Amino acid sequence: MELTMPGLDTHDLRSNKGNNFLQAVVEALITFETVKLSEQQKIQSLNYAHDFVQSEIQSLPLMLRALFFLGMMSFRFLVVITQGSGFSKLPLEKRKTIIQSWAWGRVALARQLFRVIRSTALLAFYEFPDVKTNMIPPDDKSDLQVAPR
Amino acid sequence: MKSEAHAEVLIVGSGAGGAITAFELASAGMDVLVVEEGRSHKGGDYGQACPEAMKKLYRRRGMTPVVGRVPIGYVEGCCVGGSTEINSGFWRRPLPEILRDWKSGFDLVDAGLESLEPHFLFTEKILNVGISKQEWPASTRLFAKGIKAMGWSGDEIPRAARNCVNANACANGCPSGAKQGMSRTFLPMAEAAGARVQANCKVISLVKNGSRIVGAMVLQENENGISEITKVTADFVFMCAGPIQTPALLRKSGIRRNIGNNLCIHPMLKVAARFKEQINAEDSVLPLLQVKEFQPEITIGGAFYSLGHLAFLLSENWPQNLECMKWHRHIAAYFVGIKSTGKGYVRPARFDKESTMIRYDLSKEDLVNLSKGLARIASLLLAAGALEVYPAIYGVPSIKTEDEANRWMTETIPANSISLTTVHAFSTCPIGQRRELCAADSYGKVYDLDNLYINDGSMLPGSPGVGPQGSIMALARRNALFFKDHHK
Repeated sequence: MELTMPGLDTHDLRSNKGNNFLQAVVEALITFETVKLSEQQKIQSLNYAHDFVQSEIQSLPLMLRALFFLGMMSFRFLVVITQGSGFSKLPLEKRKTIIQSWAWGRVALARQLFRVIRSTALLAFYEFPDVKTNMIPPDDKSDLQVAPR
Repeated sequence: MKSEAHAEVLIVGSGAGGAITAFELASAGMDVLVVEEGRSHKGGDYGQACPEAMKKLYRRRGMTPVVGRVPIGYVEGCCVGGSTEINSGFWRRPLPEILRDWKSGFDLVDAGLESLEPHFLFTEKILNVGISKQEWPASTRLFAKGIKAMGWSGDEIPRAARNCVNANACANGCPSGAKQGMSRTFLPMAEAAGARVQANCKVISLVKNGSRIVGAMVLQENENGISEITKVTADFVFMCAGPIQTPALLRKSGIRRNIGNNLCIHPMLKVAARFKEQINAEDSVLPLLQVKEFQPEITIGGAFYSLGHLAFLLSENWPQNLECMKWHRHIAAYFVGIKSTGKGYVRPARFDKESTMIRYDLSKEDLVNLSKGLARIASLLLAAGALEVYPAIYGVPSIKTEDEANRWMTETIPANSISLTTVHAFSTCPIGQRRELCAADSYGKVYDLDNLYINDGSMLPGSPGVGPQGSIMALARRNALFFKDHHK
């Protein structure tokens, strides 16, 4: 399966609030290709998604939360080993590439680890009011072809 | 509540089972106290975006995973009215063959269709159960077209949602008041009959003395957000906290015989179907039909749809599916649900007082049924005119042809790739006359205890094969009336 993520954004939109690592992950998960937003709206939508993901993780049962943090520590450690830098300090493009290889890669355990973050981040992002009202319509209005892949 | 309170009947939980029990017993003149862990929400809290709804109305903000070979996302309500506040209002009576199975397998007496008929009629009247009187939305019309093209049997499912205005907010709390959740029906009726309903009251444990439950320790949050423990004494206790919390609380309280061992669920695989025409599923109620052809093993129907839910569904293959989000106005969501044959259990978590351990292992047969269900739902949607069908399965691309759909009639979906959810759980405290299998007798009285009753989804001896609310409410009313007749 081809795993290229189109529309890599290069701006770092993280705010100074909250969990910096989690913000870096959420930012790497979300792309703005399907929605037209101002820079301010992008920041707000990312913060909205981050806050939601953070609260969802905190709501996990203790044992699963512990396993999740253990998995995330392993992820961060491996990133430092392989990239020579902490995940949060990497450029956005690099972070996106790494997240893709974990969240949608071949290793089932890695996918499971990122399932909570990716699904809740995307849920919250697309429920953000400005995102809902600024979705870009499809290019092919005649709709005789299948969606671009 | 004061630091010590008393009620003749204490009901733990205000969902489908608790609300109707409260109404019937209060109507009989009993002093009834309902304690509900979640909060009471008024109209303004309903119909908000999913993240806000999950925060306010769902247990653990929707994060109640079922662990097992295939992890399954489980959600239930945690508010006054329980899960009836966040479900779709679909109403089904159990299939006759299921009731026969319950009779033969658990010796559940007085629970045939004829015995339950008056209880169904009563609840259906109060909840205004009926089919939609409005024109079907596009997502339903297309589904009907697919059913017809396949030559399968299927029909519109009655709902407890009188005058639904297509707010498409069932899962977020109905803002129009059309959906007849317990907070709008049986709970106000119970209060009018004299019952007290206390929100923000979490029962920590039941207090047992010999063969009697003498009360419950309740953690109550006051208006200032400060929690304090209250002891509530009661002559009778009805556990109506749902299929997960009821067994967890009973086991925490030292009551374990046949409690929490027999978890049954309806795992659901969701798919998104993209059509040529705009169908604007975000602006209408979810598809109202279900395919009956393969029930009870496999049910095919419509799922709640919003932009966020679509992203959630497509996230298994997000790099490939991202562009699909632009076509959201052409997409609707549907599901394949199965009557699972796996095994599961519920336990209080060992190191975390706030959590419950839910484990369920799908059987091979379950995965086969899910695979066949995927083949069938994809075939149906393609026959209805869908250009592509996107299953929530990692590594499985969108299905565009009949051949691609039929592949799953013989192949089995890999267990480590499938994304499943469920909103239906039951059978963790089965009722019936077979003591070696059941937690309580046919009318919900817990074996070996004089005054403890179970009257919620946990009492169903097995999967009803359809949505459980109808079965729960009919049996709960039957049990409440039986109790009333034998204790007054």
